[in-house]
Amino acid sequence: MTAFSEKVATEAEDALDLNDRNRELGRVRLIRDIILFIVVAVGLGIGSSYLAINNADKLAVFKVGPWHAWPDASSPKANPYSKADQARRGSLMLGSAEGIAFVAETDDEGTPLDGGCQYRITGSELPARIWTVTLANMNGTLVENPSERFGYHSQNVARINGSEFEIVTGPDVSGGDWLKSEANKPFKLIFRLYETPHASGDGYSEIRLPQIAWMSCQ
Amino acid sequence: MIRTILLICAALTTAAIIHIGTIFSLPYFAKNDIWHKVLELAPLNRVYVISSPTEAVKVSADLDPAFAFGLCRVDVSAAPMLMKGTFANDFWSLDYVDQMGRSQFSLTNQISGPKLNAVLATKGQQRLLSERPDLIDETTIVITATDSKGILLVRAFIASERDRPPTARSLDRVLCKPLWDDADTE
Repeated sequence: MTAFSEKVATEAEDALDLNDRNRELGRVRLIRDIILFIVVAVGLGIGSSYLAINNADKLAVFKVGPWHAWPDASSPKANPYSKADQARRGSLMLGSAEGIAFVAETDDEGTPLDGGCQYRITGSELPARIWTVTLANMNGTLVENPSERFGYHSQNVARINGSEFEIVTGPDVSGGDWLKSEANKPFKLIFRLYETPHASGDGYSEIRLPQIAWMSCQ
Repeated sequence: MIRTILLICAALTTAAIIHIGTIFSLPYFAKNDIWHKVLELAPLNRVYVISSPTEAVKVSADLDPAFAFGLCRVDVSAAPMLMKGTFANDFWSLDYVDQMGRSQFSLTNQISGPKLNAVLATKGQQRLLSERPDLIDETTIVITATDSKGILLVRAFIASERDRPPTARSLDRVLCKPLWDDADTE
C-alpha cells in the first residue's frame, strides 16, 4: 500500500514537472516569436521606407541622354515617395509654369562626372526663353572659385557660329567659357530651362540637350 | 511550422503598414523641409531677400545661382495676401508653394510684364473680393490658396552680375502684406 502511494506521488510530481517544463517552453517560444515579429516588421518597414525614399529620384524620371528630370516632382501630383524625399531634403523645385531642371551626374558615355577630369559641354539653341547651366557638388553646394563663376546662361555664354556654345569644366583654368570643378570629387551639372513648352514633360524626347564629352583627366 | 509562417505573414503585413505610414507621414513631420527653413529665415508678411548664390543653395539646392530670390512667408487665415513689386529683369517668376513645399501655382513675367501684382486668397475670400472690386486692381492676378499658410517665392534672373544689387533692392521693395487689417473689416 505504501509502495503504491509512493509511486502515485512520484508520477504526480513528474506530471507537474512536465507541465512546468511545457509552460516554460511555451513562454520561451512566445518571447522568441515576439522578437522575430518585431525584427521583421520594424526592420522591413523602416528599412524599406529608407531605401524607397533614398531612391525616390528613380521614380517618374525623364531621361534625355545623360540628363534626368522630374517634371511632376514639385506638383501636387507628385508620388508619395517624391513628396517624402522633398520634405527630407527641403527642396524648392521650379513650378510648372516656370520651367524644368535637368541633372546630369554622368557624361554621354555613362561614366560618373569626376572633378579631376575635363569635360566639354556643347549645345545649341534650346526651346526655352532662357536657360542656365550650373556646376555643383553632389550635395548641391557650389564650387568656390575666385571669380564666383558658378554657371553660364543663355545670355552670357559665348556663341560659336551664331547659335552653338561650348563650356569646359575642369579643376584648372581653361580658355573660353570654363567652370571650375573640384579635383578628386564627383560633381553634377544642372541645366534649367525657363518658360519652356516641355516643362510638364511633354515632348521631352524632342529636346536636344547639351552633350557632355570627356576630354582628359589629371 | 504553421505558427512560424503565420507569424512571418503577420510581420510582413505590419511591415507594409509601417512602410506606408512612414512614407505618408514624413512630409508632415519633417523638420528639414522648406517650410521649416523659411520659418527660421523669413518673418511673416515680409520679403526676405536672397541675393548671394551661395546663400541661395544653402536654403535649398534647387535654387539657381543665376537668380536672386524674394521669399515671403504668408498666412491667409485672417486676410488675403497682396504681393506687389516692379522688376526690370528680363525674366522673373512667382511661385506659390504650400507648407509641404509643393508648387501650387506659378507665373512668369510673360503674363505680368514688369509689374508683379498678385493676391493670394482662399476661395471664401475670393467670393468676398468679387463683391468688393475696389479692393483689387483689374490687373491683379488672384491665386487660390490651398492652405492657410504658405510661401510666395519670387525668382529674378540676373543677366549680369552688375544687376545683382539693383535686383536685390527691387526684391526688398516688394510689398507682401495682408490686403486688409483686422481693423479695416470691423
